[in-house]
Amino acid sequence: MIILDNMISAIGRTTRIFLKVMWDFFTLRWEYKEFWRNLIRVGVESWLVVLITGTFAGMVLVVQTGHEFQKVGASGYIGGVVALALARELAPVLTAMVIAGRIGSAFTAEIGSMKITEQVDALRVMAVDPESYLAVPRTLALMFMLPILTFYSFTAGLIGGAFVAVKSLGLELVTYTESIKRLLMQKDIILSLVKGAVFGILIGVVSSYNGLETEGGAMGVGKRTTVSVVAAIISILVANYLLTLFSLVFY
Amino acid sequence: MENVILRGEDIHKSFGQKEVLKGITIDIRKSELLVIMGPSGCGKSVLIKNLIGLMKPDRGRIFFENEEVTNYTEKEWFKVRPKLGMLFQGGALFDYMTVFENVAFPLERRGERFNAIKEKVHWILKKLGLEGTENLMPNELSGGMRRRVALARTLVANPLLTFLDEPTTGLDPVTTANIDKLILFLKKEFDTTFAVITHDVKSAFRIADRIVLLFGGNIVFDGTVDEMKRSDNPYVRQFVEGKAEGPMKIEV
Repeated sequence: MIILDNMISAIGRTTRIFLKVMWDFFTLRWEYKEFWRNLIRVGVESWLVVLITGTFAGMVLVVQTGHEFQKVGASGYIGGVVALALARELAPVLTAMVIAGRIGSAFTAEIGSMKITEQVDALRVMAVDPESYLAVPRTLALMFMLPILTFYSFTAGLIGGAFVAVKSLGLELVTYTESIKRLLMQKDIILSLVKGAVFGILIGVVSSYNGLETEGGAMGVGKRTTVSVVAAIISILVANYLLTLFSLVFY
Repeated sequence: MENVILRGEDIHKSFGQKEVLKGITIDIRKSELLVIMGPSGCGKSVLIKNLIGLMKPDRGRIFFENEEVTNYTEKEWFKVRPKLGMLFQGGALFDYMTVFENVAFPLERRGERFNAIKEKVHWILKKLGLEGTENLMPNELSGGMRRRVALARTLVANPLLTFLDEPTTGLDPVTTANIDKLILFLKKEFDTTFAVITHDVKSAFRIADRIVLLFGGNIVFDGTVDEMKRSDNPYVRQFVEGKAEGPMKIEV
């Protein structure tokens, strides 16, 4: 019973943070200084790891599909299939996972450390809402950065894939790029950006919630950080499934 | 009562099975320096957090400037809190901001202009002997300096009532004496009311107008420094003289 109670209150508080993010976003109460600080920080700390992730994702896709497709004479489809897989699934999901681990855990650790050193209480005493000041700017920063990083990862994947296709499979670059142009559609790009934004919000809300709920000293921070990353990853996978379903139904 | 700023009536607070506050009634009067003393773990911090709205009492009522705030929502408390200040144990400075940014923070939130903020921050840093530290980060400061920066941040917005949670705990006797001197000076300079939590008896005798002694979730003494020195209340005697034996049974 206690577990159910805790789960319900966790969902409740997380939803409240989400609603606060949406409200503050639409009423332009953005805590600009904090928003910029986190926006820049997300970009600076993750551009390299996202580049590597995207590139290798594209490369491995080409390796996997390449040989099979060549066997059945479908090498004209390699570029396009890789582009679709990257845009619709791999770029948004892998990027989000990497960001959940890199940035989500950092957010939880930061906010959690603030909580246990009474900095969060200090904010409340100074009449500052910790959720508006800590959770909202971080979540908004992720909501903006994740689509950008997703697109960047997607591009890196295409380029990495092209490299493998040409060097390893002996494919003509033109064949690769032409098949992308044929198969990739605008709605696929839009889907990947929308997924990016949604995943960004999820990571922001989950990591902030866990930070604000931290108790019990340094050990508590460590525990919450782990929970935060796992919860973010699971939420991303569930949301990904729902968004994919939704996109197939409506398009 | 006209000169009572904050009043807690019959405050009860438990955490699970453990009852920490068993019916505390306490007044904080305008312009006084009230010291709240008691052995570690007797509920001093919990009491303060209840009085300032960071926790809600299980039972009892709280009045701020004669208005009942017991059941205030967080939003309603935000209207009251600008008049209150609290110095947390350890300072609770924002570690990713410089000294200047930390002290300027409450003024920024109030929407003051940058030039006014700059002036006030420099002024208070000077008063607290912290000139030149503006661009340092909290982790580059000593414990004593961090405390002083936190004091600056608490007082820069001129609160009506300021709580200081163990301002000198863990500091050496000389720094302690200096901070006590500072507190007395600031009380006069800002005409503010202080409620100081401490278990340093010497410090308390130096600064207090009135002392309240807490033990086992109850108030066991409430009086002036002189009354405390002359009291034959066994709790007072044991605490003041620092004896292991007596009615205050602490589990070690």
